[in-house]
Amino acid sequence: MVASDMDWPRPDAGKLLDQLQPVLERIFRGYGISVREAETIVEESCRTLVTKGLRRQEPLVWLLHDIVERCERSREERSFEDPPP
Amino acid sequence: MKIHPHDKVLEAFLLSLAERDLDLVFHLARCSYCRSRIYYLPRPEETVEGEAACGEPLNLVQTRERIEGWVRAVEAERDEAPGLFVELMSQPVARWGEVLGADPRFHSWGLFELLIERSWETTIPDSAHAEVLGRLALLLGERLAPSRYGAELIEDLRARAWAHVGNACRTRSELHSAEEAFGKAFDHLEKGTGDALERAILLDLLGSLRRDQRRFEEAVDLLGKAVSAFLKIGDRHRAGRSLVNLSIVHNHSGHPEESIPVLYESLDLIDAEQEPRLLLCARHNLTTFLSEAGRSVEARDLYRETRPLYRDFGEPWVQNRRQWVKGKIARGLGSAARAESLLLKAREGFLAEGIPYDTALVSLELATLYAEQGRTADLKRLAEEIVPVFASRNIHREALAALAFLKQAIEAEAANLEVIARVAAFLKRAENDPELKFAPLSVYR
Repeated sequence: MVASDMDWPRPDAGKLLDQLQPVLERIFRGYGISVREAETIVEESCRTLVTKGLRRQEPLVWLLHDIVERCERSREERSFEDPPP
Repeated sequence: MKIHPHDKVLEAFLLSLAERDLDLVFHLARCSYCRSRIYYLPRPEETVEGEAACGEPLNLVQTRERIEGWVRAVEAERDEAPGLFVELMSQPVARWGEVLGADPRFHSWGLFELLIERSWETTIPDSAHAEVLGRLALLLGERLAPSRYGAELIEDLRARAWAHVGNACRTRSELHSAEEAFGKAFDHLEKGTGDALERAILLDLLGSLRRDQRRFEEAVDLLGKAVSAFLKIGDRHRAGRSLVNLSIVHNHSGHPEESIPVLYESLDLIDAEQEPRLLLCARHNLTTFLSEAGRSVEARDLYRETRPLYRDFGEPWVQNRRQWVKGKIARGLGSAARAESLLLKAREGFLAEGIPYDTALVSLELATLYAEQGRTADLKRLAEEIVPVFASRNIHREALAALAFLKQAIEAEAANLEVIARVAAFLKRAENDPELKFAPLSVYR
C-alpha cells in the first residue's frame, strides 16, 4: 500500500479494453475460451479494476495479467473435469 | 498439438535446446503472464478487424456498458463516503459499531473503502485507532450485499482490512494478535477475486510481521515473492518499497552488508513523485550502510546526490539523522574534527527530541573517535553524561547494563577501541531484539 490511494485517478476500463481488444481475442482463442465466458472474464476483471480503489501503477499490465490468470483457472477447471488420455 | 507429448518426445525436445533457451522454457513453465504472451507474439503485421474468439466475434459493447454503469454507481458511493465517515465519527466511540450496523445508509462500498484507507493512514500516528477503524470496516463488510457488490470483491477488502488490523497490532508489538489477524486476512484472500496486487500487498505486510517476529528466513522469502509479484503486474514502485523492507530484514538479522545491493536495486524502482519520503529513506539507509562498510567515498557521493531530498524534509527526525550520517562519512574519510562536530550536533538533536537509543548510538561513535585519539578525559566526560540520560528513560534493561559496563570500563581506563566497538555492536543488535542478553565477558573476547 502506498500513500493517497484514494486520490489516484481511476483507470478508464473502456480505454484499456480498446488497447487490449486484439490481444484478448488471441488469448481467448489460445485458451479455448468461449465468447460468452470471455465476456464474463473481461467483465469480472474490469469490475475488480474499477471497484477497488487501489492505486495500480500499470493498470493495462494488471488487467492483462488478471484476464490471463482467469483463463488459466478456467483451463485448469476444464482439464480437471476432462483429464487427457 | 492436441495431445500431451510423450516423455521421450519432451526429453528429446529439452535436450535439443541451448542452455539459454532451456532457461526460457522453465521460466515459461512458471510464469502464466509470459505464457499468455505466446498467443499474440510475434505480433501480426496487421490485425484482422472483428477477429473471432473461438470462431465467433468478441463483442464487448454490452460488457463495457455494464462496466460504465457500475463505475457511475461506485463513484456516487465514493462521493458520499466522506460525509458518512464524519457523521459516524461524530458519534460516541462506544456507539460506532451499533450506528454502523443499524443504519443502512452506512452500508456502502465507498464507506467500506474509506474506513480501510483511514485505518492504514492512522497506523503510524495511532495504531490503536487504526485497529478500531479496521474492525469497523470488517463489521461493515458483513453488512454489504454480495448480490450488489460481488462476494469475491468484498472478500478482497475484508482480507485487506484484516491485514491492516494485523499490521496495527504488529506496530504495538502485539505479535500474537497480529498473527491471528493475518491468518484471517489470508483466509478471506483465498475466497477473493485472485487479484495479484492484493496478494502481493499482503505478502509484503506479512513479511514485516515475520521480521518483527525475528523469523528472518521467512521474511526474506515473503518479501522476495512480493517483489516478483509486484514486478509481474508492472508495479515497480511497490516492488521498490518491498526491497526497502527486505533491506531492513537483512539489517535486523545482523547482515547489513546484504542490504547494500538490495537498496541499490530499490533506487531504480521507487517513484520519487509518488513517495519522496520512501526514496529518501532508501538513499539514507544505503548511505549509512555504505559508510559503515568502509565505502566512504561511495557514501559521500550518494549523500551529495541526496542533499536536495534531505532539504525537502526539514523535520528534526530527518535532519538529526542527516548530521549523523555526515559524521560517519567524515570519520570514514579521515576528517576527525569534522566528524566530531557533526556527531555532537546529531547527539544534541537526539537529546532535544528525547530519543535515548539513537543518542546512545551516536555517543558510542563519539567515544570511538575519542578513544582513537587517546582523549581519555573527553571519554570519561562522555561516559558521565551517557548513563544518567538513559536511566531516566524507558530503555531496554540490557542496553542500560551494557552502557553502565562501558562507563565502568572507561572510568577504569580499560575501555579500548575493541570494547567500545563491541558495546556499540551489542546496542545496535539489541535495538531490534529486545530478548538479547548482554554478557560483559564477551566484550573482552
